[in-house]
Amino acid sequence: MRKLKGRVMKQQNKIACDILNEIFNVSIGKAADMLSQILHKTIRLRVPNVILLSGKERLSRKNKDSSLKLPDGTLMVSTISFSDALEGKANLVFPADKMHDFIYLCTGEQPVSFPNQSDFTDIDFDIINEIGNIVLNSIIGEMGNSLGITLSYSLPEVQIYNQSIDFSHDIESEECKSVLMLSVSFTIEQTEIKGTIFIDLTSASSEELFHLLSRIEGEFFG
Amino acid sequence: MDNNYFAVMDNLNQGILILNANYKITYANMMFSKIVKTESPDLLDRSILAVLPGFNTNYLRNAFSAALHKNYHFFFSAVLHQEIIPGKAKFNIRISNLSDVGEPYLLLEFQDVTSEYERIAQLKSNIKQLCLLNHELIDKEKQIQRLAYYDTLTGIANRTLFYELAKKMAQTSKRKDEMFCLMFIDIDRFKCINDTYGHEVGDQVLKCAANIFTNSVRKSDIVARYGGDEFLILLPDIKKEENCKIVISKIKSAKTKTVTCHGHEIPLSFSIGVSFYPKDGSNIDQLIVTADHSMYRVKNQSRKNTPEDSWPVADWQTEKDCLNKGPHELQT
Amino acid sequence: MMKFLLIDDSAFSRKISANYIRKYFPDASIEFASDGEMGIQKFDQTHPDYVIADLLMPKVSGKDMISILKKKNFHNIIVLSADVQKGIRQEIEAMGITAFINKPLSDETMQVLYAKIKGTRYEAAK
Repeated sequence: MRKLKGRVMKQQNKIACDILNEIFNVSIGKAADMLSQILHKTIRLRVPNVILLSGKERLSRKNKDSSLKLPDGTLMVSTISFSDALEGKANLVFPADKMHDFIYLCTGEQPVSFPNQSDFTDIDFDIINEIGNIVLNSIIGEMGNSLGITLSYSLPEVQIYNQSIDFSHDIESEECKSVLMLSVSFTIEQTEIKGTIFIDLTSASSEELFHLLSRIEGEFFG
Repeated sequence: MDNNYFAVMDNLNQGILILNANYKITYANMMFSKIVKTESPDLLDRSILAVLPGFNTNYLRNAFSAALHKNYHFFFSAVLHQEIIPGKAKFNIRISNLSDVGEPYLLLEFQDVTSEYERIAQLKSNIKQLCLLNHELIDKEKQIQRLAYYDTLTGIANRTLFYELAKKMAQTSKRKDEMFCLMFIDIDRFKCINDTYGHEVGDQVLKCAANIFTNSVRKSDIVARYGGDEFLILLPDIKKEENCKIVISKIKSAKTKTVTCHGHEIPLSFSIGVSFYPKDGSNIDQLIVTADHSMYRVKNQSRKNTPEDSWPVADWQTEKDCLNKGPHELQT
Repeated sequence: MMKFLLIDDSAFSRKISANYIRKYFPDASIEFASDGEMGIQKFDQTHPDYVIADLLMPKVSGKDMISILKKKNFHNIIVLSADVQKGIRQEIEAMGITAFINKPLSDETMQVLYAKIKGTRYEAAK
């Protein structure tokens, strides 16, 4: 990471986060537009807010800082990997119990109460896969678009985590890697689904991202 | 492409379609022609929107464009997009960019998930049946519990349940330093009613009495049949001893205090004795004994005051006397 | 001189929008606010000709702010939103606004906006 003094670094991050926030605002808006067309329903959105975690800040269930705490219970995670100009992974995390409501909203089919809340059928997975794909495509795509870079990315994979989850093991190089975290909230017909997006970047990519952001910053704030 | 590749593509269990930048079909494998029931040569150079008009929605056209120009990959699930491919078969669809070939092409993959859907529908219906069965079992279990804990005739708690609840109540009251009241009630001249009118009428009398008691107490209070014509009432967390008067006066003034038999109206009356935790005893058995004694004194007193041929009625005055005497006796 | 009030919680977005406004309306003055509440305050203080507002904002949301402005009998409202759903757009347009524009601003959308405000087509090189 660049050797900046704490306060300068913070100030720099504030503007960078603001730019990222705006990028994610636009991308979540686009994703919601596509979802609303597919589901024929209007979706209420809440302002996403980016938090930048770097170095030793870890994300786990045990974290005392509530903003860094993952929700309790089983989690459903969709992941897209991206490479080229930036390299990393984008994860969309939803609490699994809410997903049954969400799937019901999507299909209109009365949900079958599985004995275990974290049981999902292949059809459920397909739905989550599609939603994750739309949201993460939009996020990564808009990021590439706004930063003027090309990214290539994979189709999403969906996984269920019952216990511990640590995104910091996502990428091989563990040192100095950083995580962008943003909370998203969709409300469809009175059902609010709160999710969190984690974008993990390798240390080189995170440096590159901030380089790109500071260039934009220079263009506009000069 | 080499002929071998085409052979491989035709053997795939997945519909493969390649579109050019104008969304016209440049290649379709065997499986895809089966899906749309059109021979492969007849598909070539036709627009995908003409072959499968279901693709002609705003967001799917946007998806094509994003895949073509921005390299997005898309996944569309059969469940949310049944309208794309007509017929009963269900397909998940993937759309991606084949930019490696030079000019941009779109690759569309159609994965048949019909059998998965059927299996899941089957699974869901099985689960539904199991759920129903489970509910039935839960209902049965509740019934069994009722049999074990409730009096079959009157439907109120039996002695077993009374002791369980009373024990808990004593613990709670001790912890919270609260007072509770126990009432011991019997139906005056019950034996006489039974002998005169028969057991069926006797049963009706018991049911009527249980109803009166249940309707005279709060929801959190406990009414139980102790045995024969004896009933117990527990009033948790009462602040003053006088508060139990309210329940007694409610029982006294109950509207349906008669049982009709062959045109005869049989009036009911009760004798009530009370005791209080912790003043009259530290455990339930002690409290029952105290309340029982107090009840008998009420009964004897009212018998003395009433002519032999009229029904005795327990009234508050007599009880209050006993209330004041009872505890003294026990304490000695 | 035309007066704009630009309300957006993102400093970056305010900057982009302001640059575009200056490009198309070089003589205009621009006031800024970073949320709906502050937007209303600035509105009362500066009496702008046009309000350009984001929808997703903290404190007072864009939608609530629009209804407050409408109650003040002000209608020259341009919504600049990242939320591009048809349903949302229809809902906001039904409130009676000048234009609903998708974020981020571009030359293309700016020209549409220019036409709406000036009632003529924008010609770049004068």
